Amino acid sequence: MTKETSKSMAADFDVIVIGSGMSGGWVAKEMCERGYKTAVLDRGAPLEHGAGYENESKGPWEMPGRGRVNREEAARDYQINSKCYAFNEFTQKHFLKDSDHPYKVSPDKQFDWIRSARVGGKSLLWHRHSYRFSEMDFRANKTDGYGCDWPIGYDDLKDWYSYVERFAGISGSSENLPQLPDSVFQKPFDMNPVEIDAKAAVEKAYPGRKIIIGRAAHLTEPTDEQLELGRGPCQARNECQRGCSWGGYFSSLSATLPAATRTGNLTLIPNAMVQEVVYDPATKRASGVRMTDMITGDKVFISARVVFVCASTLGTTQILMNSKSVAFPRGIGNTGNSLGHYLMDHISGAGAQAVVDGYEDIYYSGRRPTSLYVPRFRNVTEPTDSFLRGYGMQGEATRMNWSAASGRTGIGKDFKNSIQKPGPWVFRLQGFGEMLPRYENHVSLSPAETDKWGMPILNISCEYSDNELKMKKDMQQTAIEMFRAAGYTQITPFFTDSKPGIVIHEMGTARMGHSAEDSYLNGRNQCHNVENLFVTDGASMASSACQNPSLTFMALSARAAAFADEQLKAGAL
Amino acid sequence: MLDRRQILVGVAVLMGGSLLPSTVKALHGSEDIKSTNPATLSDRQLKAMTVMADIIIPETETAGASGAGVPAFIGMALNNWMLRDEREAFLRAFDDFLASAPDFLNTSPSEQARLVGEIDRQLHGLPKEFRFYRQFKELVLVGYYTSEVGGTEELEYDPVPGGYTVIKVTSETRTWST
Repeated sequence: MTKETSKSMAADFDVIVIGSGMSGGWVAKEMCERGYKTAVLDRGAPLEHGAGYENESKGPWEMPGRGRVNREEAARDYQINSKCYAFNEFTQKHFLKDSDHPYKVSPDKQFDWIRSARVGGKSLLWHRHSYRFSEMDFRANKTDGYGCDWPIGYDDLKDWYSYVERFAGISGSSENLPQLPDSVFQKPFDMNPVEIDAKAAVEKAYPGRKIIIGRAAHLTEPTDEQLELGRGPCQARNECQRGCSWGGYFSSLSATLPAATRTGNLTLIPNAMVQEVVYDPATKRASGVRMTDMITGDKVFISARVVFVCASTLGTTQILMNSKSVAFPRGIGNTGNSLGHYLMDHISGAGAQAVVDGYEDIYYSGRRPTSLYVPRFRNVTEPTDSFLRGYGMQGEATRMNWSAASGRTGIGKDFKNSIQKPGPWVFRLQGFGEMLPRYENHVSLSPAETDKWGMPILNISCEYSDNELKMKKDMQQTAIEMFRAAGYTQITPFFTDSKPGIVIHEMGTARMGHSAEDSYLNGRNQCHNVENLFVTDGASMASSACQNPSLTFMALSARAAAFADEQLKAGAL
Repeated sequence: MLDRRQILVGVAVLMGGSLLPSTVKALHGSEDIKSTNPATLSDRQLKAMTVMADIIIPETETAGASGAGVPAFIGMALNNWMLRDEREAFLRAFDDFLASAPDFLNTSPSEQARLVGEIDRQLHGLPKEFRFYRQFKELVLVGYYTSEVGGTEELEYDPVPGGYTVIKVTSETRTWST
């Protein structure tokens, strides 16, 4: 593989953004709209919004495997990614082949690293739940001593949340809860009568617990700005990860990248594996990036005035650690003890489900793309001594369909006719808990092994602590309590043996903080030691809260881009 | 219909569980993933499976299992959804059943239906010679309700619902297939 060139494509850009997902898409939009020539480099293959969504709206009978990926192929090429809830025959090509991009885990410490194979990154594949963090979340580290103090608070991010929400489009209901600040909302999806009755009963029995409709990045009342970008209302198909040519849900492909493209300032380079941010000791700044063209194998240097690393939490840290120089032998800007450490995910996999009697005359039309949400109540309205921090819950009531019928006895016409009618109502609730930032949960570069493009592979060492496992047990208990309060009698708790990574909310490893000694970034997502280097994705998070984090990545990205713009205009960058 | 969070815990818990191997399960074992020996069903296996599938899901106002292509689906699923050892184990179990009922294909339709009914009643405690049946029944149901006939004629399908609304159940209401 190859010569290093500085080809014409690699002339100067004002800004390089590594990664085109949730965070990179926002930085690209913000910088392009402010007039900066911006290159977005993504490891993924190109994917055209709309035309590229080849399995959109297909029925299972239109797929050779009826929706399932060939099992041998999955086991061989998608050993980890096939564990993702959204991995199936319709979405297969949107997931990375693990066989091409290996990583290692410490013995007895499994970490399921779910990765995208396409431009747009995981913004194409996400679950779209969108919640603000609250002041309590930003103060959590300082309060209990785990992790470093956040250099920002809710007030620093509040207006940026509003800004990204107006553009992205978040459906939901205003609830005025201090632990879950309201967003700028489009109208919420409906709750069904089973859910409405459960809400009333649970909130009466437990005044500190609320059941609300999930806040999700789906357009229900598209604005003029959204319509101009070619987006339209969500069609309630709930097949989002195949791609949505309506642009009914927010993704880079439907929203931020088109906004960046129409400025004329965007250069999007797919199949571009960035391996290194290059440091110039003379200027003490990042001079650009070194990438490998994954198709030709060519190695290319591209220069820019500012570099944003938004390559997904662990992808970002892998690149930063591999950016070694005489000045920074442990990775660009890395003089402290935090880069690679304090890896977090959320913890889930526990809750309960209940069969709900009655409501037989009620059904629904459409596949609601969001569920219910139970905002955190533990250590908010209901304290506990058994663990720190808390969890939120997701769930919904649906009617069972044919997929449950094989567990029932019955054959012939009566059996067939019984399946034709909607089955009993089933209610599920499942917790999603905060994971403490701990130094021991870390990643490092393999000293010897590389992938086939020459990038050192990542070693991941991460596990849940006692605090998370106690929280997980509590999720199961409180779900049972709420179902009892709702009057359900057929309750089945569940508790699965999940490992970190699989919730796909990985965060930390290049965190924000007050000093270069114990953090990598300052309160503007700017590297303490390299002023024109920014990280705005999940790597920058000092704690994980319990909310789905993508909305916060968006707000941090837009805020950091605005700051970089100010600094550039002031001549400071 | 299933949302990510449901799938994370597995829809199967409530009703006793899918017996078809999941993709995930393949990752933990030491199964041979290099197998290149796809099964083909013998005439006898195919005929017996077709008869049994049509007994489980018969023709009504809509096509039954064989009319919806379930036998071909089973062939596809054996090759694509199972690893070699699982496929071989299933076919061995099916052959054991055929050996225990050597006249199955020659007997009358009512006798065939009687036998399938008898096996089905033992679904939650199948004796050794019928151990194939739980997986077989699931293959039949998945094959039927993911077919175009099963998904759009027998059940209701709406590729583009346009929104989520609560509706009243009437005598015409059919379950959504997806």
